[in-house]
Amino acid sequence: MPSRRTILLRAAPIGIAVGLFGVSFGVLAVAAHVPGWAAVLMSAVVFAGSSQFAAVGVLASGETVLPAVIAGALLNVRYLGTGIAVARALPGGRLRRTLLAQLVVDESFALGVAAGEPGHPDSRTVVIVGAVLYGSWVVGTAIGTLLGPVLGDPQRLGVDAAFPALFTALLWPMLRAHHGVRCALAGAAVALLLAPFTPPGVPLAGAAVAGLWLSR
Amino acid sequence: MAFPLALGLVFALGILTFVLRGIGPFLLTVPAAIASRTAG
Repeated sequence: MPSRRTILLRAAPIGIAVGLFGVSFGVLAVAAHVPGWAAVLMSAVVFAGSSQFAAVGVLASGETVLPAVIAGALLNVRYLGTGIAVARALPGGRLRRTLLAQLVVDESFALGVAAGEPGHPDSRTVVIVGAVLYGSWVVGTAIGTLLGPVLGDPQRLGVDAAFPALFTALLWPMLRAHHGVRCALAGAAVALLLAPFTPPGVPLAGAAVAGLWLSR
Repeated sequence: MAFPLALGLVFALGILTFVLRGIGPFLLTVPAAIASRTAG
């Protein structure tokens, strides 16, 4: 089991990236006429970057709140799978496990799986990394809402390129086994196939289902 | 965006996400085999 210091060192660079992404989200939310307080509250309550970006993107395109919520929720369907995967590793009773599971995001899950045993992610890593990322995500969003008018379009800064790079880095260690490569390729193929024809979230959910199916 | 709409957006998405993340750890009835496959 990695020490707390090791876990924090692993979380630090991801925390910086997540913080920058949070700034980007705050700027984008304000640009989409979401009040600053609501953007920060959303980061604190939802804590799911891709989902929040999707919801705000739907609002920015002129849609109402309901399609925005549906788009965001579809992207978070993958948390069903990660929740199931960490369920037996999390300590405590039902309530504690349910609350700790709120710290499971893609990055904390990936590091937890890498630090744990097959079928048993390291819960300490999941929780500590999740807590670090939660703080940087909320603080980053708050900074973004304050700096929004100054920074302008976040895509101009190139921050949007940070996350594909981050997820590629997180995926890389999981591609050691043959079945991991197979699942990743199948997921990518399904996502690419669905992306032009389906709303945000469906390609990701489809990729997750394909990966889960092939990993049997 | 009006206050009630903003609040509705935040909490609707928040509650759905809370349930999606928490349902597995809350129920804990999913077969271990599925869990191990998901965890890789």
